[in-house]
Amino acid sequence: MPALIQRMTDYVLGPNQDARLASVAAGATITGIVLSIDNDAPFVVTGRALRCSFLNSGTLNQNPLVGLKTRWTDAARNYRQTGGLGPRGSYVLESLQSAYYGQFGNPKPIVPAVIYPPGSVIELDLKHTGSTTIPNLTFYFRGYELYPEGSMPTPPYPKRMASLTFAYPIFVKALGVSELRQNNIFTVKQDADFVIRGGQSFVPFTTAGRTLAEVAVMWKDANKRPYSNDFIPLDVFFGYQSGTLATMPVSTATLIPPWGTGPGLPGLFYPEIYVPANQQFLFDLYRTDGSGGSNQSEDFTFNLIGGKVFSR
Amino acid sequence: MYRPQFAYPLSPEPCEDQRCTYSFDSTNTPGLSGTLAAAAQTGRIPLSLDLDADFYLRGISTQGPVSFRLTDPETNPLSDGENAAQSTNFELPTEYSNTNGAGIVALESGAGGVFAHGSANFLLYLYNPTASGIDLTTCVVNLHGIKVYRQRCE
Repeated sequence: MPALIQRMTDYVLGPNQDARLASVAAGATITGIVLSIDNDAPFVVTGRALRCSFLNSGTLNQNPLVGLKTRWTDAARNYRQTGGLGPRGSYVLESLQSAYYGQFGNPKPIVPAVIYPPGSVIELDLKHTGSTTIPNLTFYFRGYELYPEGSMPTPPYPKRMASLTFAYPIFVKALGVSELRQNNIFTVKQDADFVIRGGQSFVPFTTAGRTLAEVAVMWKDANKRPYSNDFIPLDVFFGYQSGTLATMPVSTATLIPPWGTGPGLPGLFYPEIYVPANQQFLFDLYRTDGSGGSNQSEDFTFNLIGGKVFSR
Repeated sequence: MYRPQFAYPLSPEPCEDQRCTYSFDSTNTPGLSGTLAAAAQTGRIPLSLDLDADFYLRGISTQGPVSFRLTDPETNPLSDGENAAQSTNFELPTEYSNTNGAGIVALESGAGGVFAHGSANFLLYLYNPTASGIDLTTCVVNLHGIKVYRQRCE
């Protein structure tokens, strides 16, 4: 078997891919939601997450996801789950499948991984048995694509090297309430290569009508080739130290707030991304909090965590 | 949630590695006392290690809202945006080191961790990113790793 390049890839299935997901009413059943895999490479799914727009009722929350049941298929259109004693293809409650719905850099692992050939589709059906309309329901299929060796730049580790833990705090200045800010440049410093292995992000907040919660990112390599088919909220990709309790459906104090997420377990880039010294890694940011309330441009920071690699 | 870490080799017998946590706060570090005003920075604060053994840093955990940057004894920074605005180059603890007691943050490096000779100093730089003063006596920096007693190998 020829050597293959694993390239981190996330496929997003949301309102931009199927408009029916923009608003899923209580009691609704939606079938035949299709996500097409690109024609250039097979895709290997290793994790999954889902999210809706935050509801802002004093505290940010994901309450509308309560009661959501789904089922989804592999490339041969075989369902990959069974609900209880039901037949293959039964709908399964999402809240019982993963912690935090796979958010906060904490995707639900899919083991063994599921491979989708180029041009194939993931088909998803859902039933919403909850009582609240789900706004902007979005599913994230996380994994990697496979490319032939030599088809794209893949800088290797030096044969003789030393490594040092390192993190780059990325400061974002005054991102507007509905701003799309494209091709932000992160340049690795000249002294060493940098391998990106994880990251953390800011704590979403809503205070006195001022909200910073809906910030999404699309990573790109130096050739501006994206790592996903659409934007992914920072709070799906990354975790943060606090706030998980308030944003989760069960907002009673029965959970340990930082369980399973936070700086001790950062959101991971897998496979890791190796950026040589003086080279660039790009990202687009898109904020959709809108102009309601007292919303305003906001500064924030996210953190790219990994290691410096020195040639010796 | 599974996150594999670098596997560090054990020292060959009869060498001895001892798990070690260096905890720095106002009781043992004069730089961690008083109040740091809003948007203010400190100079370098030495975090002095013991004389008896070399130390490999493998993790960190902190308490308190103060942002910081840590450098190893060779003055290599362990994080830095190197932006023109100095205040953007510090790590927010919520995104880097504050786990509220839920584990520690791995600092993955080759060769067993970030090396420090016995009696060396890690250097700490603080910045207050908030709009009000921070009481530094509430701040704690814990460095987790191992001490290596090489003399027992000889």
